[in-house]
Amino acid sequence: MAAIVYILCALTSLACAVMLWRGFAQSRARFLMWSSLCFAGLAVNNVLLFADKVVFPETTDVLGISFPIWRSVAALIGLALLIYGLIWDAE
Amino acid sequence: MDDPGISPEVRALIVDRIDSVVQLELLLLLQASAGRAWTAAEVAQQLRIDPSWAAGQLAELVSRGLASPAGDAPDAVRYAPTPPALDATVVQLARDYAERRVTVITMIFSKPVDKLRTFADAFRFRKDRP
Amino acid sequence: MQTTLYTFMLGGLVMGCFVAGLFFLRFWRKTRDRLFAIFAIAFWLLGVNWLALAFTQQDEVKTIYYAVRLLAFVLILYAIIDKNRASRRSAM
Repeated sequence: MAAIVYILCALTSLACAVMLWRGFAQSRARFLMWSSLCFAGLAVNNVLLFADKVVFPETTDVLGISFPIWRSVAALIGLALLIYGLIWDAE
Repeated sequence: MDDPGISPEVRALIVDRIDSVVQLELLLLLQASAGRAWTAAEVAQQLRIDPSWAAGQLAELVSRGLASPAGDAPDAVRYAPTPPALDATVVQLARDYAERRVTVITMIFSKPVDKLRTFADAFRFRKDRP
Repeated sequence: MQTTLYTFMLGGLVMGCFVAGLFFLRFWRKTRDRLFAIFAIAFWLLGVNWLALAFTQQDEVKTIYYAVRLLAFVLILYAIIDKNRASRRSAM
């Protein structure tokens, strides 16, 4: 059940990222680029969650850093980029 | 951007669906020959622009609900405003363009890019707006 | 140490979601476009999800946590569908 949820979340994030990137390609509005990257980061977060819980349930570390930290880093980078875009490029 | 001589409907049409003078001329060309299907090559010859660019601009008009594919030839389109009542506004726009060319052109170029609108529109699958 | 670091990152995520949601809320007030209101709620829900994780240090696979995440993304999906249906009817 959790696996389905994570896949759905990952796909939704990916879809948003793609739509926003296409919008950016068409309009060159940088705010769309930052938002797209944010959703890409969230997609990675969800994919890693899926990988962590479903694909590699036994593994706890990758390169000495725990899975939860990798997941959070991806989402944090995405959010940071979004906030940057919200402040500087959104209006 | 405000001009008392241009009606709000025409201004809305420009703001919502026309991004360049080429698009405007294309639209007026299609409208003036109402019903006739144009291919990119014919349009390119008529307006003296690059054919591949013309094809892209025609596709853009279709996606904005101002033209529709004609079926006669693969890339032929004909004038088809959505909603049909928009035709009256296009006629008005043609008149305005003939009488106040500079004003209309200025309106096209002084459109600020509405980033929030662009963000929301990125989630539309088809871009023809009502 | 890694637990502390993880909790710290969760804090950053919560704050980021809170701020992003606030921006989207402001955009909604400015444009009256439902999409922004829905995005605001979605980001706040994600923030709540990470906030709960920080406080309880539980496994994310436990029911309530991924339900909140699911709700957030379902809302985003709804916003997209709504945006494409509304284009049939009136403005927005």
